[in-house]
Amino acid sequence: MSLGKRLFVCPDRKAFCMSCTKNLLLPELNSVFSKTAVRCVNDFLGKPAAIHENWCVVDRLVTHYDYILTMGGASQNFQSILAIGVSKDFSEIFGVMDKSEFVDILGEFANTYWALLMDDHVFTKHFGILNQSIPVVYSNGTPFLPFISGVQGKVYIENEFIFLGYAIQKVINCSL
Amino acid sequence: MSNTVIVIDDSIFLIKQIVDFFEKQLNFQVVATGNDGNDAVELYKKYKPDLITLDITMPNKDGIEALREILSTDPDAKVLMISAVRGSAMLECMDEGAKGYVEKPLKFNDSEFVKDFKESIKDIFCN
Repeated sequence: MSLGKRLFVCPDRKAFCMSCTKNLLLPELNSVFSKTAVRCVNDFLGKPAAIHENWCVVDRLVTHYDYILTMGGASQNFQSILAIGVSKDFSEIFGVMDKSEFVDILGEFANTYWALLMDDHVFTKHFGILNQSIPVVYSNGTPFLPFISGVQGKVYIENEFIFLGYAIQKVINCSL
Repeated sequence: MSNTVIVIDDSIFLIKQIVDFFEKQLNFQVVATGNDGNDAVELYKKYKPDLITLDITMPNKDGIEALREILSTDPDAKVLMISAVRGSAMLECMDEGAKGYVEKPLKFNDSEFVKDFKESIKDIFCN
């Protein structure tokens, strides 16, 4: 029986494991991600920021906040996802009350973080430049984030914090 | 008479900042603002401004596509790209005919950044 279209499972499942960046680079780059977060708050919000707990390397980014933003990005060699989570109270830090304005600013915050990461020579030495997509914001939801190793942590501003996570892996080429 | 400008960005927050900068620091007249590449092309045809600023990553139609369309209708259009995209995008825009490229984040509180931004605008109108 002909199915017209045939789906192929990537024949080399090992490629996924080999593409995992966790054991190779992410622990080394941990501080790049956290320092970039502090710089992003400084540049974008003009406010001082601090890291109180060490950022950690995880098998998959975990987020559950009132507002969650995800932004994908890719190059020919790598694909990645940025996740940002904040509580509703965070709108006071941004100085806005309107939800659409809050979401807009959160998107620009993500855009800024991405740009500053691409300006970091240590990051680009390993991964090169990845182009970001348009951000997606979820409200009161937990998006299903892919099982890709990443670095995540919190950056504190006044009494609130922003959660940031960045997961990255090599592009997996599966012929269809 | 002051120069006219159209500001295109998918962030309302950034549009406010850019408009403020052009009006207060450069004495430009902002004739319109838009949120995507489709707005950019339509508004450019309608107002024929002295300058149009374009973000790159926008919904519906991105800034590079809008740049191409604007230049196909007016090869002398002065287009300034303002984007957070890094890497080859800048060269691509300049090759396509953009007159300048400003990298986000827009640090309007940083005097060096403001100086560079103003120089970019000056260069566009002098060349």
